[in-house]
Amino acid sequence: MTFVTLEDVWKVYLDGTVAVDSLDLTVEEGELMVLVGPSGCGKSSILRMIAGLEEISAGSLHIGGEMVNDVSPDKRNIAMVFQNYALYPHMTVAENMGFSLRLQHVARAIRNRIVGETANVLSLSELLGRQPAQLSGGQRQRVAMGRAMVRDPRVFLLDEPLSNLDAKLRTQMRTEVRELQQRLGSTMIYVTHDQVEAMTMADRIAVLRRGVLQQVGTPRELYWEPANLFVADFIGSPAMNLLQGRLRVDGDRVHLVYGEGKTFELPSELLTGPPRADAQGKEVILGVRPEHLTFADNGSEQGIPVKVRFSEVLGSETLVHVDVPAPTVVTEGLREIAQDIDDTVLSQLETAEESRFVIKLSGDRPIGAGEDRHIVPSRDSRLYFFDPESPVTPAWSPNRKEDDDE
Amino acid sequence: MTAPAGLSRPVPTGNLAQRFQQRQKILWYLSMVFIALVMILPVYYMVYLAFSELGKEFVFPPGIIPDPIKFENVLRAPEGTATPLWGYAKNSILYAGLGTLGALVAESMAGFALARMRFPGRNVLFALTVGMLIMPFVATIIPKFLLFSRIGLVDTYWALILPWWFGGSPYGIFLMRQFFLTIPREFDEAALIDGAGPWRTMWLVLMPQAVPVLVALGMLHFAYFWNDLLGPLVFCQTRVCKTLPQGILANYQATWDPQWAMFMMSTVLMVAPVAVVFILAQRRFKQGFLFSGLGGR
Amino acid sequence: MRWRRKSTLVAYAFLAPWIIGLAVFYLGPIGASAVLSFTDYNIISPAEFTGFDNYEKMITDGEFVQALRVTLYYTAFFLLMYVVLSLFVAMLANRPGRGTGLFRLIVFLPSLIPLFAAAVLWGWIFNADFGLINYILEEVGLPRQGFFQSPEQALPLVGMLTFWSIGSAFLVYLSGLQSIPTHLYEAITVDGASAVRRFWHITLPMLSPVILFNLIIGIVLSFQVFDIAWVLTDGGPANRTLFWVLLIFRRAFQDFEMGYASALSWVLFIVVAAVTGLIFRTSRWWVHYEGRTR
Repeated sequence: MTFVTLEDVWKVYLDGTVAVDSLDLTVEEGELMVLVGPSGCGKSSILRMIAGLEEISAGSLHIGGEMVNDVSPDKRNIAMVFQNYALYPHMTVAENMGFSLRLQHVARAIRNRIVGETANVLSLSELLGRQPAQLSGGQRQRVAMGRAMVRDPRVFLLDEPLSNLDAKLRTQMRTEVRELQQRLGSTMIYVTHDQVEAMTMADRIAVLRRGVLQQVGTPRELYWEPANLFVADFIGSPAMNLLQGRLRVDGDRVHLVYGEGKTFELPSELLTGPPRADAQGKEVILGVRPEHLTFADNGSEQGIPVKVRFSEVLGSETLVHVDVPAPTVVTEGLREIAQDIDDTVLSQLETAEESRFVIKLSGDRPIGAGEDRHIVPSRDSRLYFFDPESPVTPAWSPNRKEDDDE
Repeated sequence: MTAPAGLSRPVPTGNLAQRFQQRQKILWYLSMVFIALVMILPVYYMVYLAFSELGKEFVFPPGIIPDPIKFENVLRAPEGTATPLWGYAKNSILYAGLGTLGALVAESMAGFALARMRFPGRNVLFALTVGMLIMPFVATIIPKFLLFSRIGLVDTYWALILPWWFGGSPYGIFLMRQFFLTIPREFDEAALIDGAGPWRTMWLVLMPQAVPVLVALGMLHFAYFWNDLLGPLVFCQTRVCKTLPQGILANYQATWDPQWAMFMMSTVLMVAPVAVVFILAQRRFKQGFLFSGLGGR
Repeated sequence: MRWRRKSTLVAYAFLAPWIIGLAVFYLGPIGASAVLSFTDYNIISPAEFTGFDNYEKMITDGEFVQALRVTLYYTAFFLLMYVVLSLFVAMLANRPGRGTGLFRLIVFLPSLIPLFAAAVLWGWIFNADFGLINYILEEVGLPRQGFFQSPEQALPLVGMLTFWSIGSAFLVYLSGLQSIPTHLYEAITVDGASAVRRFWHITLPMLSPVILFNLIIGIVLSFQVFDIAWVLTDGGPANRTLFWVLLIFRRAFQDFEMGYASALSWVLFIVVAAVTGLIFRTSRWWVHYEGRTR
């Protein structure tokens, strides 16, 4: 059953900034929907509009079948968990959790019972008498969840609830929140900028860019079938390797001409069918995920020649950083990271003769720095083709699908 | 600098900012001691006189402590040379107490609205408020006096208290606004979702967090009302509403030969409670905050 | 939205007391005193419009000119104490070390003494006939001084005594000093800067907003000085401590020349507004705001 529906929803701020651009989105009952995207993509605005903290500029919002555009936040039967938790510092854990009930003039005995039960579920019973300042980060996070649960809302709204925790605790809370959500069968809308969080927790993910929805789907759909370059680059860690070039079609064989006239023959077993007529000469960005690349045997001249720079050994897997003789494809994500360091880093990236690929090998298999090797897509990998003109043009395929009509 | 020869034990060292040379240190201590002595001198002398024997306050050369020490002055001074001080004290407590209370409530409400609500006219109102910071009290005192005498409030407490109930001071409003701006908006939003309107958000969620600022501001107000002379002088010319400063001065001027010890003891007794509260509450002051907000804009 | 449209009304409800107060106790009176300043009004008989008479009278009124001079002189003295010297004292107190806590308390303590009481006390200490200071002067073989009885000494003395009321400026400076990040000093010390340079390049710029604040408050306070003259000198000797506000008080509540007194207070307001306005204007040249946002 559809539970939360946004239809053609806009958020335009007074200064004219369009934060959310004609959004259509539905959230099913009992579903954990993650809104993900880089900062400024509008995900928080969406959540705040659902909460009623921001006005909806245009469009309609339904919760549980009822149009709630004009309903005040406390009447929407939602609960929100804030990034900084917003636990009232002068109240104890119990008072924090029971505050909404107190405002509704619920009798003290009933209040205490509900708070007690919720605290039990979250194993907070020992902490009920403490004040937020006396709690650890993880405990505060749980209290914030508890305060939301006490209201027994129809929808939980979570705004980057784990981003203030350290890495280890975040991983742990991720599963905790997910398990809780499944146990209670509650509907959750969860905002994060962390795609790993999105991938591990979500039933479905909505990827946003500059206020525009790019793709909605299950984590697997997003991983395997990214709608465009933006989604492909955003989902997956380390990010997808990208190589820009021109397609050359020789009969059934397809080559990518890249860098200074280098060619790479796309393995035919990875293509879904005979090449399309318009593939010849087309400018594309080829995308391969790090885990879908492997090194050709020593001495082999097949594949893409690379120079190994260094290996990161993580134990269960090894990330090998290599340089590919082709200009870097500067995606929005990469641009943001580079600019965060320094503008000169960005200009270096844009003018570099070589681009950096990452290859993920399973197990402890470092490759010596400085070695000249070749990389090839592994057998079970997938190749993606994107339009270099815009990151939001739908992904493209140089082949006819086997069941395609001519 | 080189360490003295033979020094092998590790010496605890501070960071760079804390390190300064020995000679500077002595100079620094000497200046502090000198200024402290200069500062404390009138306070000490006041207490000295307060415990002196009537008529023997000014024995030359004065000793370090009064001889004899008259502890009974503590009990005698409030009885007054001409009129007992109790009545004045009651007026002062009313004036300072109700004035402070009303001012804090009004300032918090105005500060909350200016910090947290969006409404047409907000910027104009805020600019006016800041402008009123420099309004000298005397500039408005004549029309205020005429107004109060017309509606019969002169010679009642209300002439002193009422203005503070209507918004308090621009300084207080400004301060409360700056404070509320430092509290993350998420608290308001959480309270809104929990079902609190602005009124309950302010009183149940924000005001409890403002306690240190309220204490500091309240004490500034209280000390101002408590020591104020010009206000009562203009608005209260009868016994029913005269305040402690007026009472103490009246007693002082009542006799041809001023009773210094009694005057000083009255003053000491008047200052003592305020001073004690100030010293005790000093730790709870958010001084850093009290003025830091002023740099921000 | 319905629950939002109400919010303007709610905001004005929260502000209602202040808006009333602003109108009745600030803007109304200042307007009224502007009107009164063009009249002759003694409370008993109705006000009579007299045009610019009061202002003309002011120019020729020797007492007003004297009050203006006295007040400006006092202001200069007071600002020296309240803005400059208190910064020095605050810097002393900002050094880490034993006894600074007590020092801070001692510096602030005199500010708690009500001005009228301080005035009586100083009056005694500097009494020309049997005061403590003259006694000490005599003991060490120096000539006795007139102090408050001397036309030459009275005003400078009153000005000097304001040193004991720097407490609030001191606290403001102290909190300002404490909010200057230590790393700035560490960086400049590593660069080999002397203490004087540290003061000029770090302390002063970082503290400039606080200095501005103290300067403005100091001006507003000093133009309103009243208690000490009322209690101690009664404007004398020879009107040498006739402060502006004392003059207003006398004209209004002793002579009941409400019209003239209104003109005096209106001009006082203009002067304070003009001076503070001027300071704000120049502040952009010398006040340094860290991370100026919002």
